[in-house]
Amino acid sequence: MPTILNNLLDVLLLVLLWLLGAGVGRVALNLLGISANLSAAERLLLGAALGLGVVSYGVLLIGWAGQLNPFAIGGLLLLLLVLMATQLRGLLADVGASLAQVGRCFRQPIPALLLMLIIFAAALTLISALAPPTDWDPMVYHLAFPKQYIESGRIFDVLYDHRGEFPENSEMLYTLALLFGRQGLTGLLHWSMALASTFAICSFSRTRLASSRSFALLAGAIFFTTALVLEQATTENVDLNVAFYNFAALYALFVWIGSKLRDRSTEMIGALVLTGILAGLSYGTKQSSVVNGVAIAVLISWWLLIAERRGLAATAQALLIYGATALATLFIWPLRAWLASGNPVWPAAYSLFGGKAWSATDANYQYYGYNVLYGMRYPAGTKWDALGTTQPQDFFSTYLAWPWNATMYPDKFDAVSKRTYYLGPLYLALLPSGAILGLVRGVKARSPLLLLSIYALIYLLGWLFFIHHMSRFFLFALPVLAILAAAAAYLLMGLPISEIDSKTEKRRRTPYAPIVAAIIAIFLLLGPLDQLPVTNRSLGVVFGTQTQAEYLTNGWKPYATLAWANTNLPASARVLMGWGALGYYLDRSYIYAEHAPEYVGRYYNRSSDDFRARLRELGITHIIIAYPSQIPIRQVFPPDFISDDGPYTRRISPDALGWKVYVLK
Amino acid sequence: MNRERATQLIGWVGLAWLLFVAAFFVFATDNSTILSNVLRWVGLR
Repeated sequence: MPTILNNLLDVLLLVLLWLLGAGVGRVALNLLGISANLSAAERLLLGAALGLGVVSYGVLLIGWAGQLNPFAIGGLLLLLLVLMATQLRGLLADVGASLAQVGRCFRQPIPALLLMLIIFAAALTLISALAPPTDWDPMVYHLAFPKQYIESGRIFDVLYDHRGEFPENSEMLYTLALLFGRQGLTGLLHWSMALASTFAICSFSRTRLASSRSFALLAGAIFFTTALVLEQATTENVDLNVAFYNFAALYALFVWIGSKLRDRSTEMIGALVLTGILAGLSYGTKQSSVVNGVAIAVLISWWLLIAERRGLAATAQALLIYGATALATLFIWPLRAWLASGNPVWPAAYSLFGGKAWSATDANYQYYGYNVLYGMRYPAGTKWDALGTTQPQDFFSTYLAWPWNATMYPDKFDAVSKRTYYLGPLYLALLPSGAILGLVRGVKARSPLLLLSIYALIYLLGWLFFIHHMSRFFLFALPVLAILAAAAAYLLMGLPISEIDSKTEKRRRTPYAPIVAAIIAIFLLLGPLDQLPVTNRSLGVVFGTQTQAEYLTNGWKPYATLAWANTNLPASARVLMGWGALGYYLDRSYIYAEHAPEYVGRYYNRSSDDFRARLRELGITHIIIAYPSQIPIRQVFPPDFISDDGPYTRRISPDALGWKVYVLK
Repeated sequence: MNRERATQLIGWVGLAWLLFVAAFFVFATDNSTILSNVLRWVGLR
């Protein structure tokens, strides 16, 4: 099939998968009794969030049963299609109504311009999302694990990589795509989460804040044109899934709040259950979503205790319903980790739970080590293995000045220095004055913007004290921050946020409103414009003038080594991938030894002979190493174990290849 | 100071902050390729 048609097929499959999710989710929304309280767009978005979760768990259960093959997964899809078919009429009506809403944005100039900007950003990133994966994390685990699951026909426990027992809702969707040979669909799935989040931001603003179209689209555009979002939308990571699920859970909470808490009505409980399920699905996407879970619990308590003055008993009851549904949704992932390793959040909280194939040293290197690499906690240039010898920076630069530093020096907040990994100046430029203006105008405990601010504050505190200081992890609260930034812009320009306000309260436009609007417009454009060169690099491979091998050989040098290994290693080879050698494109059985040297056998516990015996026990026949000079850092191999022709290994790859391939003697 | 006066004052300070952050981002950092190129073309960098 011509490449372009193949890519169009992936786009079509993506649409079908979202419709499938929305159809299945619609059944659940009906069962929860809240369909009638939702707008068409809300039924689609919250329904799809639920339905895609059902697909993920279906793949997981089938994979656990050792039936990870096209027939079994096809059967699951067929079953879900039948379920969707029962909802088809309503589903299509909702799609039509939502598209009509989007279409109406073209009738006024400002919404039309903002919508076109979002479409432009979406189109640019769509092209890059279709290009073959080259980002680090997908090649280590988001796609590498699914590929290995498919090769072995089952979902197994991965204790040789510290990410092996993370929750894998998104990876289950990637497994589904790869099982049918649709690599392009994996990138599209992550990309679609950016679009869905944007759609959710707009829908939330319109429905739950009663905002104008301009406001809704400004919030959506601030989110999607953030370089961080654009950059991630082109990868096969899971961070945008987390952003979407976090926001969907928060959205459901607002549905519950909007239901006015009619006593013990199905409506109230249904929306709260939906909030719990979506928060659970968010944890099933990434463990750090526990912060989202806590933030929502705080909002439930705030609403019932302070805004509604309903007392402790009602609050406890609501928290119980929310917490129980969240736990019932997510328990499968900690259970998997616990069964495999003895630690439900393996390998985190090692001092508390312990766990197989891990040690206090690993915990120190892999987890505290991130503190050195990301953020302002240690002076620039501090190395991973300097932990314990380098003094952390002061409280001010680490915990107080980070909004400035993360905006101006984004390279400090990611291990790989990328210009595109930035938040842009709008959040920092707008949020502080927005917050002060909001406070001066008078804050009501029931104000939706106050609730969003509390959520954002809890998330940022979580980011500071619980999550690694990576800019990428801002994404998890970015939809909320984008709405707050748009609100701040409106306050600064003296425009009414809610259309209800505009009728009851006369707001005067500030004399400098055009300057604010012009600066916002410049920075909204900047992100997509900076994305142009990235899109340009993907054009050839997406439109078929370049093959995947050519694209990868040109753009990602190590591919040449893996392509050589795919041709030259025997089919029965089992490879140990050393530090930095990412395995997604290796078509041989392998284990990745970067992150759990304990699994392989740490060198200082073993002699070289013992180490070789352990490798033989694991069935290892070959070793691929990306950066031989960095071996001591990761302490995987005994000193002098690896050499071009030594007692234990012999290099067999040509000199010209960047990564080295060795045969185990 | 009444609320309206305070709002006006904070609005102006907010505008100053917006301009300062935007200017610092544009002229004192190198976070955007396209922006750097434009500034180079017009001779500001």
